[in-house]
Amino acid sequence: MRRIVLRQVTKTFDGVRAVDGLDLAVEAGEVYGLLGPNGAGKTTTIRTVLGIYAPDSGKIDYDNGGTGLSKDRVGYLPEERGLYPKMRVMDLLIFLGEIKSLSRPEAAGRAGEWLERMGLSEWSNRRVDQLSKGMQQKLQFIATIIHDPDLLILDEPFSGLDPINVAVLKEIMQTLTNEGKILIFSTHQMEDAEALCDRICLINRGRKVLEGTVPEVKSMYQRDRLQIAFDGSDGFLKDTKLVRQAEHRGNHVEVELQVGADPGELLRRALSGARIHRFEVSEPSLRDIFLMAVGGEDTGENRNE
Amino acid sequence: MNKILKIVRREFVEIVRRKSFLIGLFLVPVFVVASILVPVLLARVDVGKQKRIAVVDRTGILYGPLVNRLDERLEDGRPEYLLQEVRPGPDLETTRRQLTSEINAGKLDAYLVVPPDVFEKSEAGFYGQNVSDIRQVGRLRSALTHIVVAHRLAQRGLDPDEVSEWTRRVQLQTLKIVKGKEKKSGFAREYFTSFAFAMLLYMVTILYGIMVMRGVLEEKSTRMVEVMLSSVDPLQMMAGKILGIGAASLVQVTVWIGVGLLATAYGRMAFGPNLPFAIETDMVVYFGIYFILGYFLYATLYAIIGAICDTEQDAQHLQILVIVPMILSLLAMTFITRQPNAAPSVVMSLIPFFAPMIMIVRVNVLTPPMIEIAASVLILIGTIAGVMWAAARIYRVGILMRGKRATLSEMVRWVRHG
Repeated sequence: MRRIVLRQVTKTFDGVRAVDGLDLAVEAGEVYGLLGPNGAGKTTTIRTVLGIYAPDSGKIDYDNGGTGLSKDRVGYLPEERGLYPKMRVMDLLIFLGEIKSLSRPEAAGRAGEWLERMGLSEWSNRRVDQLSKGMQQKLQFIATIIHDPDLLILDEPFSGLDPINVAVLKEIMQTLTNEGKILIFSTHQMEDAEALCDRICLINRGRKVLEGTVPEVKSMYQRDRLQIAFDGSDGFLKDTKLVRQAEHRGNHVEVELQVGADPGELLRRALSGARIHRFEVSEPSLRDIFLMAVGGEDTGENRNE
Repeated sequence: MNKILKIVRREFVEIVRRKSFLIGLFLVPVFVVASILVPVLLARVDVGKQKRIAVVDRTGILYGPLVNRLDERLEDGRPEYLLQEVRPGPDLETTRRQLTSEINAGKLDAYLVVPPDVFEKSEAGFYGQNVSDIRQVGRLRSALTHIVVAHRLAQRGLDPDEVSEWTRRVQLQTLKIVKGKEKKSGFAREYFTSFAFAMLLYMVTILYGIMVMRGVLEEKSTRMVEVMLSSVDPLQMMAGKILGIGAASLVQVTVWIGVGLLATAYGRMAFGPNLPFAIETDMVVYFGIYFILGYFLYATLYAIIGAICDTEQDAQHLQILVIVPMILSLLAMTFITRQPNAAPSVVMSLIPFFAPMIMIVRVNVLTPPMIEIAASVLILIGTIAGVMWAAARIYRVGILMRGKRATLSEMVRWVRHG
């Protein structure tokens, strides 16, 4: 599988469009961030990609020679953890490997390797419900990748993990991407998304709000915020053609430019009357963009998916 | 198909490894066998004791014949009854007080007071610490009756032996015709055996049906559903669960019936062919068929309940609906045993939700025409297919639903629109 393309996918529940004419294209070898507020339609989108739901209309092309989706080639880590609490760790991993069509010895071998790598070897004969939350999370992650899937969908994979284990998981995610897997990563943590994703898609109320590589998305939002530290006249801040708003914050001023104003022009003005220590055009963070893109709208938070 | 087998194995192993399963598997037969054997063994232990009975014979002529009649011997050859004659004193009360104190001292087990007018009034008194030993009391009564009646007959010039020959009762044997062969049977035995089979079917079906329901609920509440659905489809999940748990139930039933067959074989060797309870091999075949069909029908219903409910409490309420037809079947048993071929019995045995238990009872009492058996099996299979088809559609949507119980109209919509 080299690519997944969703074309005009729509899924309706009880008259509510959980996913509404969604177009997506996910390439192998990149981390694709699927972002959006609660109830935006992320889970429905993921379930549709996984074949758990059939779309009401639209098409999903898995680009694997037209064979459609093979569930054996997919690894899914759902947002809410799913493990049989009464099973032993090893038995559970073998079972989950087997229903991905691994042979029993194959599944056992890989389970052993991954438990070792994740530092869970000594727990392999314990019951799942005797493990801590963090350990269960690692176990769930192993279950997701034990069959070496082509398509990985990770929904909030870091929740409940300490920073050390987050780093381990991130490294594995990077390795898998480099191996040419398709990796869809869904999260609310914009910092994680910013650090990990090559490409992001922000959806809200079942529709795509924006999509692109992280720099592309950022460039779509105007760089209209400046931080300026200076001595001398602040007359340049009073030019309402350039400055919409200026706010003194201790040793610097936060400036919001007028729409279409050139930061260079403001710098020239400033230099004429003041000594500049710092003049910085700040990049909007994904978090800011997320808030700007969906903040004002009804996020459909209470929608029942 | 291969994936279903993996699920079947997981479900099977999960149950078979439980302590409760092993306990049920081995302790229940031990308990049942013990509850039958212990009273028998205890009765034998009791036989080993001699009974010391004092007889206050105020007729003066009854003691001799009584000693002659109570001539039973224990297994070791000692006489069972040790009688001693007590001459009645001038005051009966004094004699009785004395005998009572002997009983309290443990020197005597009981005493019998035969009044002088026993031949007219047919009354005598038996005093002992244990007057509830039916066998012993019955034995004394029949011995006394025999002597008193013989005495009356002799007074009228009749020969007691001849009279007893003339008045001998007719022994009516009840014989059951099974496929042209006759075998001795009777209502109590038919009812007992039918009841045992029907109860077994009822208990095991409900027990394992509930396991199916709980399993589905557990997968919903632990969110295992989503992980499973990214590997298999809902129908495979449901089929694997029902088959895996069904396999465990079959192991249980097989062991239990196996013990029953062994007990029957042993019982025939030890006590002869007419046991109060017996398992015939042809019944085992019928039981197998109706148990498996009944399990599939009910387990599928339980799977639906698990899929549409959000909490175990919800499910507990709904499952009453499933149990009702089984309880009705149990209630109908007495009637079915008495009139296995009456119209209500036949109709009930053709309604799929009653068929498993009712047919087991009918087959056990009086093998119904083959056409009726075939019809009930076919109707059951058809119903199972229909219920499974609907279940697959409800299951598919229901297992992903959280936070509320599906309404009937929602279920109908799921079934209609797939």
